[in-house]
Amino acid sequence: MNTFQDDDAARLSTRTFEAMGTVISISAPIDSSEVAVATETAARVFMDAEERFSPFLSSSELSRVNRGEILLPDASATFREVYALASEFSYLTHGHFSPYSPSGDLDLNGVVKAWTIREAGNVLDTVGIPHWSINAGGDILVSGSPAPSHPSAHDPRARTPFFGTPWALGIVDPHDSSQLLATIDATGTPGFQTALATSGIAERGHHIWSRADSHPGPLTRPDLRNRSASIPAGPDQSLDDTQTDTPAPIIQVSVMGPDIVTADALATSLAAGGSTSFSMLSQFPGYEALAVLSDGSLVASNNWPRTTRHRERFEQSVMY
Amino acid sequence: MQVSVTIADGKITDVTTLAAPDNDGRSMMIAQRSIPTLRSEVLSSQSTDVQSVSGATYTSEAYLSSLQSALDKANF
Repeated sequence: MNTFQDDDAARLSTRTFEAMGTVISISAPIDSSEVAVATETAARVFMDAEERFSPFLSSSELSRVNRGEILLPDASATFREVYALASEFSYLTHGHFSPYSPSGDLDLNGVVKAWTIREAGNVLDTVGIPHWSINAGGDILVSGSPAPSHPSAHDPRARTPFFGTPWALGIVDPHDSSQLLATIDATGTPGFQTALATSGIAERGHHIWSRADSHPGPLTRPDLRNRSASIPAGPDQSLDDTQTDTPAPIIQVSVMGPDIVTADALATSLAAGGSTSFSMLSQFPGYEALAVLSDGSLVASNNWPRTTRHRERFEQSVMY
Repeated sequence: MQVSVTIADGKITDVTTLAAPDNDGRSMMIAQRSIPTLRSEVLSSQSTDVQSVSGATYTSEAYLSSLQSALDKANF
């Protein structure tokens, strides 16, 4: 009888803490007391980032830069790194993303949480935990496996230790937060990370979605020509009310890929830019997106993982 | 451009680009990148067995009633 998996594989343990206005969950397939120690370490990373980057703390480095007490070139290396990251994504996402608040103050919150998740993951790796999951308020980064195999005399896979099943990650249904909309398998291999970030449009009537009420109806027949003709050239044109025959507005976007900062920035940008901005993904190999439209229909990028059994019933080729 | 349209139960469920004019890189990118998708295509059968849940950022209060909170309690 070979029951090594049940005997040897540690059960997944989770600890949580509050930071950045939300709850952070740390999980790892190790003893729960070890997870508690690892979580304290990760919590320290979040506290440090909050103290440095919070616009709400007058003592934060960000607030001191905004008051002119510190000039940007004299800011800490960490601060300049995150500022550079925010500036890079502002450029890459055609301004959907900005390191400045509308009032002109520096505001790095668009990248700080994801950057902190990445830093916390690095710390977990450094303290010798190869398999972990960090969920910070709905944005997830996982590494390794939730059920790694262990080197064992009884383990037929002893020659390939530490490989295990992938993490199964769910995406919540924005129309019913008690239900899952989709699931993905993530990594499974130590040293390899998968990020899954989700952005939502919190309320209807957001200025970007001013044409929501005039929408012609559910997306039943994709018209690729019209879609390509209606690409906004920039953020200003996405506010254009005169566009017609566009898909229903996006209310939630999830982006998966190897890096949490990139995935999070893309999710934010796609939520702001609408489904036509999916073309932006072409610049980010390895990143895939799933969007939920206001009518409940879904739009996915080409290689978003999907089951195949629904695609084979009838195919025909059409010339457009 | 030439696309393959998948029809199930009388509805278009998938559109895949077979060929696109290469003098129009932009429309080709659009065609390749935004595809109507059925819910059943992205929710796998073992969907209830997940280790973590992604969603729009929740507050500390909203966390308490979230799926993630239920998972975290189960794994404490």
